[in-house]
Amino acid sequence: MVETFNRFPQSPDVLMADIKIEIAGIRLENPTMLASGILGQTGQSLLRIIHEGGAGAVVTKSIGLEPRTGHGNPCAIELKNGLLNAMGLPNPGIDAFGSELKIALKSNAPVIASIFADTGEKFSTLASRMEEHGAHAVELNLSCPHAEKYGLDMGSDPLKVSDIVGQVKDSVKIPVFAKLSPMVPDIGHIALAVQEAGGDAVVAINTIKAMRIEPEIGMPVLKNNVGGISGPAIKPAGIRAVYEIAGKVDIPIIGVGGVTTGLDAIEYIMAGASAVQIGSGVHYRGIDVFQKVSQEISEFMDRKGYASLQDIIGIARD
Amino acid sequence: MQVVDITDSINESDNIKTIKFKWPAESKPGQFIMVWIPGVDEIPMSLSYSDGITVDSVGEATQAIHALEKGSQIGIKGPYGNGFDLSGNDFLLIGGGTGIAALAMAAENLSQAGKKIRIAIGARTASDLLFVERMKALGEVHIATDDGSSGHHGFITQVAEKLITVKKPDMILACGPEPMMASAVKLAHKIPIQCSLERHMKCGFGICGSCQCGKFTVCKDGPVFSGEQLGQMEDFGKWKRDSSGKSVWF
Ligand SMILES: Cc1cc2nc3c(=O)[nH]c(=O)nc-3n(C[C@H](O)[C@H](O)[C@H](O)COP(=O)(O)OP(=O)(O)OC[C@H]3O[C@@H](n4cnc5c(N)ncnc54)[C@H](O)[C@@H]3O)c2cc1C
Ligand SMILES: Cc1cc2nc3c(=O)[nH]c(=O)nc-3n(C[C@H](O)[C@H](O)[C@H](O)COP(=O)(O)O)c2cc1C
Ligand code: FES
Repeated sequence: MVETFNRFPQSPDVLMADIKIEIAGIRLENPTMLASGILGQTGQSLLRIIHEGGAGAVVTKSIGLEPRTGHGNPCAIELKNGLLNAMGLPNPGIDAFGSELKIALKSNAPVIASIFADTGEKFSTLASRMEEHGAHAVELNLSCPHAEKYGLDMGSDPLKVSDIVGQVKDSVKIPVFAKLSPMVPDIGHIALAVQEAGGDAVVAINTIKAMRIEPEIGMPVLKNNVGGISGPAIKPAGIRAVYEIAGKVDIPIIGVGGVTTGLDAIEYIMAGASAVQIGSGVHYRGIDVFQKVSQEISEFMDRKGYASLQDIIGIARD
Repeated sequence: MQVVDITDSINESDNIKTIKFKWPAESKPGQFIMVWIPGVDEIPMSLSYSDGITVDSVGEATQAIHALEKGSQIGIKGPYGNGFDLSGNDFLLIGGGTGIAALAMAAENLSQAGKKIRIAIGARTASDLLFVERMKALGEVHIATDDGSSGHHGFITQVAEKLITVKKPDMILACGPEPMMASAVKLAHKIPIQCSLERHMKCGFGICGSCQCGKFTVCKDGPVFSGEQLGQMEDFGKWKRDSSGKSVWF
């Protein structure tokens, strides 16, 4: 007999774990989201990640006010246990992106718009434009480590973070997420600044500054010399960051960094995350990584007898 | 990324060179590599040989490749992409410009497997025609040039149309300028066709989204797409995206 996947391993009346989750009023069918910058630049691609990939929500590529080509090639390479990239925030600009967002919004899953800027005012303008275009939430990129003036340059100072989050909160009604970098002395402190300024959720982590030199050539491989590492190599750093943030704030945390399996996601959730984002995992397990991870999360919960995600969020802290 | 030594540089025409390198990797016809010219750029190139690429000099990176000599080193990522599906028995190959480079290994595989192949090669002018002798050893070759300096005076798709009327192939493979491939898809009508596309590539392995065409990534889902998939891409034959992701009409 051919074995098929059975949603009800014992009997139909044994309930499957509930993996739905609500974050800042946004309902997700499952706790996996596409991370910003991975296949998130066009509407069609975002739709595919939802429909064929099974993501509970998607985050768009980080979008700025003007079109930007980003850093030159090579801008992404595969390493043994991760990916190294210095894309440099390429994006078509907010004007051109509106039509892409409209396409992505044809699905039922939430679409979160990632934005980047170098002042609170510009962040606010971008956030308002994204709200007009129909985004369900905005994610502030305060953490990209390889684009001067942007990302981490905005996100390493708690005063700046609080100023930006505050200004954006004043200009939009949709939830505001702040995406943070682990490359600060105290990430919990920055997360607290987000919460105190009214931020609705914290997303952690972005890539960690890294580089690779090709010995045969005697040169850095990336055109930008320095990039950010993602994938399995950074998972322990992400878990640590979420764990520390969970000790400081009450707003929801979304864990990112090296999630490729359900157990990776469970680790983040036990550290205090309500959901996870997956970027490099798309490379390691294919576009349907979201579906696979969700299924593995339910299987784990069923095996351990957990009824809902609420039962495990942050349990490693208690 | 693997660093390889250049073993040969061959002039194909005024503006086109084939570069060979010491690279033992396995690849499929229709796959491509990302070529890193240290200090300059990294660009996608179809494998025209299992250990070589054929490069039209159009800008900084391709000029830098032309300047490479025996013993120079480049970095290679790949092979990437899906490659051609070579099932079928009676093939028509349509190559425009350097597009024939992506088809050359497919032609060799098909010929080795004893399959019938007709190859239509197009170029601007006679001196730009690529791989004519190499293809003549494998099958029936038909030529078109824009200026009439060799073969049919006009589009290679006009030649292909005639060849289809003479005898319907059971599979068409096409690579060349996208408007050419778009008309090839039209004239293929119900005959199965596969086209190899080009889009701006950054990562080359399916994560950045720079090479998106419709819902597909050209680097990972492609570069070879079936007529059916091409029919689902509203951008095919109409627009591509520049390195910021903005749409640019052909
Ligand atoms: C899958 C694939 C296979 C290819 N195979 C071949 C081949 O076999 N032979 C060949 O001569 N050419 C091939 N090309 C095209 C080749 O990559 C470009 O001509 C080359 O990148 C130009 O670089 P440049 O710096 O010399 O020119 P530039 O002056 O930088 O650019 C000239 C034009 O080349 C294109 N281009 C530039 N950078 C890229 C990039 N990173 N990705 C894609 N296109 C780019 C753009 O359309 C641009 O307008 C292929 C492209 C793709 C996507
Ligand atoms: C190619 C690539 C592009 C990225 N672009 C962005 C971006 O535009 N904005 C952003 O906030 N994060 C960006 N990131 C970071 C990811 O969203 C994520 O935080 C990081 O990759 C860690 O998760 P992962 O290990 O699942 O990939 C990018 C990552 C990669 C690999
Ligand atoms: S080049 Fe990055 S996804 Fe294709």
